[in-house]
Amino acid sequence: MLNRRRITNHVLGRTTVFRSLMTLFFCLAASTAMANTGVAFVHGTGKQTNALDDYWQSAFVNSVRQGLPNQANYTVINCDFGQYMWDGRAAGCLAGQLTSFINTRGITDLVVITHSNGGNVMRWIMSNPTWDSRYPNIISKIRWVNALAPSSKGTPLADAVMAGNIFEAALGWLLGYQSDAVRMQQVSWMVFYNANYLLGTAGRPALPKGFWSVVGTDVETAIWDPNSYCGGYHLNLGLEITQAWLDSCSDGFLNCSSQNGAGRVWFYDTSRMAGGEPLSHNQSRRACFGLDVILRNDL
Amino acid sequence: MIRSILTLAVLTLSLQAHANGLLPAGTNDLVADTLSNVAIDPGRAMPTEELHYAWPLDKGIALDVAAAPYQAESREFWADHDADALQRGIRIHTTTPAALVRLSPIGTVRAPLQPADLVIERNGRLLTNSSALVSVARPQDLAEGTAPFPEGSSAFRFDATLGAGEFILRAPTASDRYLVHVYEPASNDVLKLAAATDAHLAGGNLKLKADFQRSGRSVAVDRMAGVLTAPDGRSFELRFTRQRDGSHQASLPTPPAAAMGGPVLWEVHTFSSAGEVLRDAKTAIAVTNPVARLNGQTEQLALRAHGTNVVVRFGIESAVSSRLQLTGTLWGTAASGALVPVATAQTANRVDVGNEGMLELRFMTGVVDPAGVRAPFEIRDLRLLNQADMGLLERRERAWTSAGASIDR
Repeated sequence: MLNRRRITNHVLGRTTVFRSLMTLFFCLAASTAMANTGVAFVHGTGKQTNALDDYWQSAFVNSVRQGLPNQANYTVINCDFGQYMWDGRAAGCLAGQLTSFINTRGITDLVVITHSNGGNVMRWIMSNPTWDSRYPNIISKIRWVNALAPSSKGTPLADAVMAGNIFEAALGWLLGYQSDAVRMQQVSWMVFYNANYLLGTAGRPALPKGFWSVVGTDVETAIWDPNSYCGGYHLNLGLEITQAWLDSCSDGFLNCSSQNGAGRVWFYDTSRMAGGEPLSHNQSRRACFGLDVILRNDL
Repeated sequence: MIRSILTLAVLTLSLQAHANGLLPAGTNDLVADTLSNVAIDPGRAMPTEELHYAWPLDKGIALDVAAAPYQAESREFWADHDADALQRGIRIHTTTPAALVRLSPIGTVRAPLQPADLVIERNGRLLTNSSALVSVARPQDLAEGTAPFPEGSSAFRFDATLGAGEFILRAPTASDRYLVHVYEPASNDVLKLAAATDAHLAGGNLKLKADFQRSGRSVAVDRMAGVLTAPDGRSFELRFTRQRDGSHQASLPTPPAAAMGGPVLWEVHTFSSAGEVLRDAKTAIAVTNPVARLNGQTEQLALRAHGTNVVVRFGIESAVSSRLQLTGTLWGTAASGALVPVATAQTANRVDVGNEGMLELRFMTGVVDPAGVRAPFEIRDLRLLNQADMGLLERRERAWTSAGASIDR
């Protein structure tokens, strides 16, 4: 069984080459062993009931799944990731839908594609295999996780959103309720979770399976630039504004230091996207600049 | 695969339990002095069966088992103002040019403020928004971003050419209460805040350190106040006292944990001022009811099987019946003689009061042999958790060594 965790070279170029070789090797090994490959799309923060249309969009999902030997072997997860990651409506729901997918389709080789906070929910499952009796079987089927812009170390924007918002028994949330997922992605909270409940960050044991991040480094919005319109011009404009709270390297919602904070970096956007384009936090879940084709070829 | 190997090994093993004990707790270890019998409602149906999982670690992985609490560094403050105050004008003191300001309606009306309606006074001059504000984000712009700011929020920067110092912000159209959040990312005025440790046991002592620094040196403050808030809404006032080095410390008995069904964190909020400069900081900590602990007994099972297997049982003392989780990392001796990380294992099982038994970490040949290591072995970063709420009950940097061995560290 191929295991990308064995890769020890973090240098971007070599990692990319190595990953490609591993993918080729895996395809050969998988065909020999008659692996049944499937792909799961795991959304980010928020409650989804139709993530295919509302979160990912069909063009992206349909493009990626073309890389499957059996294109029907895909699932789009719909859970409530407005909850804490361990919640039954979050990780519990994800475990249920992944288990159902694995069992129904007979999946033996699962590639998981996550976006944003979906990476944290997957890391909860992979870091706490004895929390839920469904987890060990899911982990054993995972080939690796491709984490698109994961919020592995939280975001200062969650802190900014919560600024001044203190919970008092008599008054409730002073500024109004924010979702548990937003609260959880405050930087100090994620430091604690990474140190105590989630694996894969520096100095901590690795996750049982590979966790490969795709890092978005910038937001570009110019009204005359057609690239600014991929994923929606106004959505990208909103992300450009929120960059004011972030580092110089960010995708408008997450610092690069959060996106590359767990597992290994697969690639930074500008090194692989068509035209060297950056991926905003909105574009890293869209068929923008060839991202879908890269993910397709990875299956 | 791991389960298959395990089954095979168990079938062929000859048990020779070798008793030894836990290593003495280190100064950074989290260990309960006394136990609490306050059970936590898990709020879910926990698994009933014993579960094991183990996986190998990459050769060369660098592990740091020392727990380090988060240190917040604040270059921001926030305040709420009513409509009258904003109509008259509020003072905002900045330490660097181009401060970032967010206005969020928080009253009952939730009436947004449009940046175009703001008037800024600087050095006695009245400036319109177009000459004083840059990077303006209207409520409709912020709403398009991913960050869920309160509805009606707007944001802007003061024009850098206006420098730093006192600004007066007037909002003639204000008709609500508003949160004013000021962030100066390049400021040298920083409020640092950290807890002595990130994880706390109820009944222990909780210590916090706050330090208002200017260009890296502590400065005298006019105010240092704070509050500890539990996820169930309880709050505890923090009283800071100035220390010789200029920092401030607060301590209080750690309150009982909140029953949240998961590891929901507590927050520490600190509010300070030094002259005209305001800074607010926050950080997060965990509080757990110490319902169980390791009782000090360990047993290594000698497995007569192919390959190297390291199976170690840890005795449990528990004041409540619950489901406990134990996680540890095995280190083994490499050809060089150095101890290196080999694998991580986790187990969980139900533990009943009066019949606690032991929890068993299984590092079987499938995860040990690829590392090419031999005895002596050591288990580090051992963590005991209560799966009812994932409260961290015990954490030890070094927990166990293979019996009678001298460990080359």
